[in-house]
Amino acid sequence: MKNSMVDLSALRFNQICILSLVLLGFVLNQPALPAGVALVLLAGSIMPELALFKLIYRHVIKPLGLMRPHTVIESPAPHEFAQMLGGTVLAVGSGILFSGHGVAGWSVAWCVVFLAAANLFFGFCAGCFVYYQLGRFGVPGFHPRSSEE
Amino acid sequence: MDISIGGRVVIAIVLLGGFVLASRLVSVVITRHLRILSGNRIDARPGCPELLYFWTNECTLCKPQELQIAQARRILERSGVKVRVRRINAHEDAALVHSMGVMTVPTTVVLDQEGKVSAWNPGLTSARRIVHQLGGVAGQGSQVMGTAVG
Repeated sequence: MKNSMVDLSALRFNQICILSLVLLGFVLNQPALPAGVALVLLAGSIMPELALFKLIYRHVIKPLGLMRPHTVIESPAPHEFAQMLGGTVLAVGSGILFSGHGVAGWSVAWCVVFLAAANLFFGFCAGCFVYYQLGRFGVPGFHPRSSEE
Repeated sequence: MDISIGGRVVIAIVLLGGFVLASRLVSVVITRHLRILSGNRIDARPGCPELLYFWTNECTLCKPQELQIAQARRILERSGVKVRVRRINAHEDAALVHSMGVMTVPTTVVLDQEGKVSAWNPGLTSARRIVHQLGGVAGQGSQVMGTAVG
C-alpha cells in the first residue's frame, strides 16, 4: 500500500471513541455498545467512507477546533489493519455477550480496551505490532517494502 | 454478571490502573534485561549517549516519531548534550532487532556512554520522554528538562 496523508488526530479520536464507548458499555452492562463499535470499525475497514468516528472527527471535532489536525505522509495500512483486528475481536466479544456469557464476553471486549489504552497512553499500536510481526515472517500481503520505495 | 454500576466503575478503574502499572513494570523489566545483555551483544559506540531508532517503510507512526526525535535532539543540543541517533530499518538488521527486543515499530532504545541499554520504548515516544532519558544518561536530566519546559 502506498503512502498517503494520515491525520494522526483522527486516529487518536478513533481510539478515544473505542475506549470510552466500550467502557461505557461495560459500566452500563450494555452489549449493544461494543457491538456498535465493532460494526463501525468493520464497516470503516471495508469502506473508509463509512468510518463513523473519522466522519465525526472530520465534520464536528476538527471544524470546532476541539482537536488540531496532525497530518503526516505515511502508510495507513497498519492502522487500517489494527481497526479491522479491533473490530473483529469486539464482534466476537459482542457475540459471546449476546449469547449470555457475560464474564467471557466482557473479558474479550476488555482486550480491545487495553489495546486502545496502550495506543492512547503509550503510543503502542497493537495492530501495528501484529502487522510488523507478520511482515517479518513473510506472510503474504504484509511483505516489507524496500528502502528505495 | 449481577454487579451494580458503582461496582463496575470500580472494576474499570482497577483494571485500567492495573494495566498502566503493569505496562510500566514490563517496560522496566525488559530494559533491565536488555541492559544486562547489551554489555557484550550489540555494536555499541561508547563515548556519548546514543539513540537507536527502529523504523520500517510501512509504519504509520514512524514519521511522527522522527519529528519527536528531531525536536528532542534540538533541545539536547541547546543544552550542550551531544547525542548520536542511529536509524535502523527493522526489516534489514535482524541481529540488532533481536538483541534489542524490537517487537514493533517505531521503537527507540537509549544507550548510555558505555553502550548499555538505559531505556527501551516500544511505540511512539514523545520528545519530552526522549530528552528526559537521554539527558538522564548524560547526567544532565533536570537541567535539560528545565530547558525543554522553558
